Amino acid sequence: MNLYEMTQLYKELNLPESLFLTRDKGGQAYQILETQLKAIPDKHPLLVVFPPDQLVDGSFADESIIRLGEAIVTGDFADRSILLQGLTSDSITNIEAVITFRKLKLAFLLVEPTGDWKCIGQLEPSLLETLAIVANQTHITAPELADMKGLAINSASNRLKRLYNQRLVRREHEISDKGLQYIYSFWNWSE
Amino acid sequence: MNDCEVVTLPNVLGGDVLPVEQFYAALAEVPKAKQYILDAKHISFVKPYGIIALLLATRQLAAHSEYPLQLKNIPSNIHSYLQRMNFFNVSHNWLTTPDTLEESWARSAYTPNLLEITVISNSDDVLNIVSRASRIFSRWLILPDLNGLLSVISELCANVYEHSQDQLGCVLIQKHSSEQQGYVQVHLSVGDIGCGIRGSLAAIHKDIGPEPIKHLLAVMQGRTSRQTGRGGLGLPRVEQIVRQQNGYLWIRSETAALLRRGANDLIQKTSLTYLPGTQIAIGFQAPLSS
Repeated sequence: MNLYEMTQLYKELNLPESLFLTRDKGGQAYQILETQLKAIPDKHPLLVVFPPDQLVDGSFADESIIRLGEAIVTGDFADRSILLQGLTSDSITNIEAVITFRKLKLAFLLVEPTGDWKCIGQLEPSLLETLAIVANQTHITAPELADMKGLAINSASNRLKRLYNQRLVRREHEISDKGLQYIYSFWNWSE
Repeated sequence: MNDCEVVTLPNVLGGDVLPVEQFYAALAEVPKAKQYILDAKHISFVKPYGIIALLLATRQLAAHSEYPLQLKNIPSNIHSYLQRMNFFNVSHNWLTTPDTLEESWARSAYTPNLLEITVISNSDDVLNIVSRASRIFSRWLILPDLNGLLSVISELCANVYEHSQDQLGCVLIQKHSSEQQGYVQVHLSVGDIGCGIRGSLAAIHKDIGPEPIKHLLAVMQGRTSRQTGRGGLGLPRVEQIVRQQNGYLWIRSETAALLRRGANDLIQKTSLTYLPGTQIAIGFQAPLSS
C-alpha cells in the first residue's frame, strides 16, 4: 500500500505535534502530498494517515487536502486518488465546513484499517447509495447496477461515471463483442 | 500643541464592548500633546478586549507624541494583572513602565490559566500560540469545545499576519471557571492597527464600495483578498463555531462593527470612532473538563 504518514510533516514543516494549522503550512503540505501522489503507480490510491487526536484547521485543509481533491477531480493525477485515514471528528467538521462554504461538489473517502469506510464532504444521496453498492462488490458494470437497482442503463452509467470522476471508485475497461464496457471497483487499502 | 494631556481610563475596561467604544471616543477628543499620561485610577477590572484596546490606544497615542506615555495611579492588583498578562513587555516602546511591583507575578509558559498578550508576526507564531493554548485549555475544556477554540485562535491569528500588514498585532485569552457550577468561560481578543478589512479587500473588490460595514459583511460572506480565490473562510468559520457555542462575537474595523450573540442575527454597528485595523472579541461558556 502506498501511504503517507502526516506525522512526517512535523519535522518537514516544523509543525507542533497533532496540529495541522494555517494556510502557509497547508500550502507547503500540498507540495509534499502532490509529489507523493505523483510518485505512485497510476490507478492506485495514496493512503494519507493522520495521527490520533489531531486537529486540522479549515485553512490548512483548504490549501492541502481540498486543493488536492480538486486537482484529482480535474484529472491532474490521472487515475490516482487519495484515501484519508485517522481524521478526528473535529478535523472532519473543519474540512466539511470549507467544502460547504466554498460550495464545492467534493467528497473524500475516510477509511479505517478494519476495512470500514465513510464518505465525507458533498455527495448526493443517490451517488452515496451507489458508492455503497460498489464497495460491496468485487466489481460492477452499468448494466449490473441497472439490473440491481431497477435503473435505466444510462442512469446507472451516469452514476458510476460521476463517482469515477471524483476518483471515489476505480475504473477499468474491456472491449468485447458488445463494444467498450467500463468496469468499476472500490479502492483497496488493506493490501 | 500642549505639553501634556491626561487621559482618564474608564472603569471595567473591556467589561463589554461599550466602555471600550467610550474609551476610543474619548481618545479621539484628546488634544495633540507632546506627552500623554494615562490615569488608571478608575480601573477595577480588565478583560482581554479592554487590554487589547489599551495596548492599541497606547500605540496610537505614542505615534503622535514626542515621549512615551506614562501610566499613573494604577491599582496594585491591576498593575500585577497587567504584568502577568505581559502588557508592559509588549508595550515598552510606547509606555513608561510604572514602578516595579514589590511582589511580582511569576510568568510561565506552562501556567494553566491564561494566554498572555502574544504578538503575531508569522505562521510560526500562530503555531506556537495554538500549541500553548492547547496545553492551557486541555485542562479545562472538553472536545469539541477545545478544538473549536483552537480553530478560532488559528484562523484569527493567521488573519493578523496574512492580511493586517501590522507586525505587532496580538492575541490574549482569559478564562474563568466555576467548579461548583461545572463551567468555564473563555474570553479571547485579537487586535491590530493595520490596514483593516477594507484595506485588505479593497484592492481586488472594488464593487464593495467605500463603507467599512460593507467590507465587514463581505468578509463574513467569504470574500478574500487572495488572488488565487482560496481563503476567506476564516471569519465565516469562526462565526459558525461561536454560534454553535452560543457565544458572542464582536468584530470591529475602522468605524464599523458586527455583533453576534448566540444564534441571533448579526447586528451591524456603524459611525463608531475611527480606529485603524481590526479588533475582535469572542466569549463563550463551555462545560468544565472533569
